[in-house]
Amino acid sequence: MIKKLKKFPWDKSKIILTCGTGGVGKTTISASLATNYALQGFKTLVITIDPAKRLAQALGLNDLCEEVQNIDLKTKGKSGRLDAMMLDTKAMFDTIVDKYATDDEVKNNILNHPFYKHLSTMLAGSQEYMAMEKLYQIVNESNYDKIVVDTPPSRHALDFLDSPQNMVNAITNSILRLFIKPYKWAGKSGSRLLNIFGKVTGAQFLQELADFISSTVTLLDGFKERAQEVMRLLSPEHSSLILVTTPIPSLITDSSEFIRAIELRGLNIQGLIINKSYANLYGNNKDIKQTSVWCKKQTSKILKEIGIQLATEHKKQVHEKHIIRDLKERNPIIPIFIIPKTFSNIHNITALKKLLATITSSNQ
Amino acid sequence: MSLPAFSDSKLIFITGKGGVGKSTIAATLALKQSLLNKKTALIEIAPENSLHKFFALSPIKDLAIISKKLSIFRINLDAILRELFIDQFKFKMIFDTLIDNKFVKHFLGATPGFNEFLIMGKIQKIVNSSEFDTVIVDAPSTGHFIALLEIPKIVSTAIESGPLKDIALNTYKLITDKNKTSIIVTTTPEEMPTTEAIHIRLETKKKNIFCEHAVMNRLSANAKLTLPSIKTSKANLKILENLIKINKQINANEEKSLKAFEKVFKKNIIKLPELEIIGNHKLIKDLGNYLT
Repeated sequence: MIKKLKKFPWDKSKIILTCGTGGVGKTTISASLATNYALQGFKTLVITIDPAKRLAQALGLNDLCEEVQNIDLKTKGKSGRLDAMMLDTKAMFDTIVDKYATDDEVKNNILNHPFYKHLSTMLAGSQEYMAMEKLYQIVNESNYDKIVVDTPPSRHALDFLDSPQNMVNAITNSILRLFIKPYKWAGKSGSRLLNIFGKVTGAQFLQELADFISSTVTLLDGFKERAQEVMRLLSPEHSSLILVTTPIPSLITDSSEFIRAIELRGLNIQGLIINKSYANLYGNNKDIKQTSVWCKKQTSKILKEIGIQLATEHKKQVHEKHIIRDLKERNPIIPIFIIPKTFSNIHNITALKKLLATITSSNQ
Repeated sequence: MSLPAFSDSKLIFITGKGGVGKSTIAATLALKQSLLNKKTALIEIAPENSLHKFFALSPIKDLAIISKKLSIFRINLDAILRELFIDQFKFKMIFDTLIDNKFVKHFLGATPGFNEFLIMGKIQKIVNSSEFDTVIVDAPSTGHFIALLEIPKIVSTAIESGPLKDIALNTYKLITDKNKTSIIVTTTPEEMPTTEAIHIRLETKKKNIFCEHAVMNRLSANAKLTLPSIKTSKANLKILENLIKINKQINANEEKSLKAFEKVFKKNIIKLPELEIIGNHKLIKDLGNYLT
């Protein structure tokens, strides 16, 4: 019997991004989506940011790295090929310098500059931006049918989408700016500020910074242009955004805010996935409540305690139902999906493949 | 009531993967210490704004004084920048006349690493002011936390001399001093947070910073593993069987995570149960009984 494949709203896009705070399951879900696309015959790449070693192993790799690795997927009755890579922000920055420096001399000046080591460490904190840069590169240089991007976990999932603009701000508005166009910018206050900065950091630092910036001027200008290109990639024409969350009240509030903010930016969320759902975990609501009541009436201490555990589970399920109802009222257009909580780890391709089948629409 | 061993530290960071309960644990420890008469500062770093919920307050702007023994600081960059320029560098006139606070914040704040430097500098300042017996920081999760820890060394190496270098050096000295600073890595009994917690310990060790203590949070408090023999409806039996099955899986996962954790942290692990209370004052009061 040929199982009918589930269709999801994000299937129409070439680029699929999973967004959400840390710990909700973005990486696993991204890997599952990518695995299934590959098994369906699409030329697929998955970019992950922060996988547990186990996930790399589940994908059949010793370790994920900056290089694209080809994975032969073999599972019951199906096979396919999936490309996977992990974003290494430090290496990513090196790549940017490599690609966009105007010539070898400039490139070496930058890479060998004592300040570069510090800057790239500090900028490597902007994982979000580097993920965008990588996406941009890949879309331009390759011909994948599907690219699934596991975005960096952010306290505010918007960090990722704002990263190109933030990066541009960092370049154009930060202290770096002073060195790019020292006289054009802010005149008297500019040199005053430079003076202060020099006093607090020391003259040598200032000189090194100035040297460094003048080497990197064209590089930094390039950021701005690419940022715009990257924003274009995120438009509904090319991308689908999936917001992943878990049924924890504070995260749900964040989710609604995120959705609002996305819409304000003219982007679309193609789906909201509630991962680790309590729905039907032990059974349906009514049954759990009845069993709990029965247990509490028994004389056995163990049964009484089980009754309490079931009562708690019941509460969680009811709470979750309310959360979903609220979400639907506030976001009537966005499809909401649920992935039930499991206690087994994803440890191979088959498990990743099966995960997709557990994503159900919350209307069911 | 007794406190964990690391409570003697002057500076305590609580970190771990996103979602494991750092804020809850930081608030719990801070409350407990204050009740045991240790003057405590609890620190939250913007844009986080959740500690106030544990103390039934509205969102904290800069400082909330809970009691004579407990203050909550929210580190936000506007305030620190002002402090830096005015107090530290005596640039008040310039600051007020030429430089608008918003402008400076935008300008300097956009410089990579600068915010992290300010945050660490402020923490160092509070600790070394000796106003508090302990300073507890509800630190960011793994990636951002490690970036925070790296900044003092980077700044002190990049800058030759001057006031910024001094701040950086003092901060570096503080966080690498085992007797003064403790880092508590938090996890839940799941694979990814546990792996990440172990990773934090390894990464910080390379930088001369020591994560010796750990907390395993949200352990199942009441997972019953066997049923007494009973006679009841099919429906009840089905639910009970599901429950036992799930409890067994939870238990297996917990044992696995604990084993991996114990290999690395040995006996320095505090186990906290999952309490069925919404994050608020009652939660941290009750949880405090387990934090020993």
